[in-house]
Amino acid sequence: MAKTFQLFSKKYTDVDFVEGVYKHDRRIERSLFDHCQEYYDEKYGSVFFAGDEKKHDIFQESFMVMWKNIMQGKLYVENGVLYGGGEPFKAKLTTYFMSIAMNKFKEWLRDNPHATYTDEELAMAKQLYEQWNADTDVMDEREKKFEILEECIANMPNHCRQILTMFYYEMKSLDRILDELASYLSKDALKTAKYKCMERLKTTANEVYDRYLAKA
Amino acid sequence: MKIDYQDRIDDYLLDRMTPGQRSAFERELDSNSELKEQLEFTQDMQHALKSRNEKLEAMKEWEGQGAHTHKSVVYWVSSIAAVLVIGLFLFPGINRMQRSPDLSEWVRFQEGVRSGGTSYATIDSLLLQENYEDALVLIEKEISELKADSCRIANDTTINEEALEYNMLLVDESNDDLKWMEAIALLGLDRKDEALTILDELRNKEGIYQEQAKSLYKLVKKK
Repeated sequence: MAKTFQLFSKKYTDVDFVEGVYKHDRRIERSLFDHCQEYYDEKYGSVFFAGDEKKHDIFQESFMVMWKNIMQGKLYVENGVLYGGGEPFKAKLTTYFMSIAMNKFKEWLRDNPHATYTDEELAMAKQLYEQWNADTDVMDEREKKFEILEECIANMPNHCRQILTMFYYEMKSLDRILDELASYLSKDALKTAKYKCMERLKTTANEVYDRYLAKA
Repeated sequence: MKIDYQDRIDDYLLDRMTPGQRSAFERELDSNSELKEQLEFTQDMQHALKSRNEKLEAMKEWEGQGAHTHKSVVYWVSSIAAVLVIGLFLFPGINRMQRSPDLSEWVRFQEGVRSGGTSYATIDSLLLQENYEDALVLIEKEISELKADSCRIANDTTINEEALEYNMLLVDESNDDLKWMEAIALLGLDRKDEALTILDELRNKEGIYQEQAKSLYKLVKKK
């Protein structure tokens, strides 16, 4: 179907964005995506020192985190005021987005110690990120475990994510997956790989959850 | 975790068991806590994969449209600038343009092509050339095809509720696009009352045309 572009595009406020995303308004989700993309593209070069491929990955993962945080009510609107971390949100949504991106970038930096950066604004963003993402609302055990599971899936090895996505999301049979992925010699080998990926995911998720409990 | 359990859990979750097998499996869950825990983990993992992949698909779609949109905007803005300059200096018909709103400013820019059909870009092109009659013929054809699409989607039993809702949202968006273009074409043909009816509908409907429809409605009413 044809899609449209609006020459005189509607300007959404941060309150509009958070309300709209929370209500699953596809147009607002799309607008927020474009809004963050524009800001990120503008800031990326002066802030992050990573290649274009990493730039895209960081953006994608960061946007998903922000999207999820809005859906989970970490950012919310009450009486027309935007709240985050239980307090009125004083910074812009794009700053919040960049703080998430910065954390994703720092995770990448752990594996690439030669890249360095200093930026006062990012240091503030880091502080704000930690403040805004504090679990001021108590999530129940299952919700927290689910959140951790999502994060672990994002960080699992590509081949694991691929097998599990094809089997459990795309609902493909093992025979079909075997045809599409050339790297497995037999159906049994593929089944074992799938099982090991799940086991590894469960172990990692439990470890992260135990560390979370220890901090709390 | 046990690999033997996983085979049965997969058959259960992916609906590959007979009703008898399902009942037996569910009875076993009551007495086998390890099996139950592994089932819950698999369900959570499936849910997390679904949540992640749906977002990724939406983002990929937006990324694809973004690049195309940018090129379209550059192309159409340049075209409009050229049309306006030529109109100002070469055509004596400027007086006629002054009698009705400068419609080239209000023409929407479309991207993408419907499979097997005329592109919205062709309609835009006709509107910019002030070929309102041909544009209207095409718009009416597109509206008719969209209605057929809408029926097909509504009767499609192979897609889930979320996909149905999303597809109907896209139909609604396309319908608004066509309505807007229809209003422009009608104004071009001096069929003011019909255009005002459509603009009135759009200005009272929450959507991306609401503000533009309000402005154009006021402008047309003043003339």
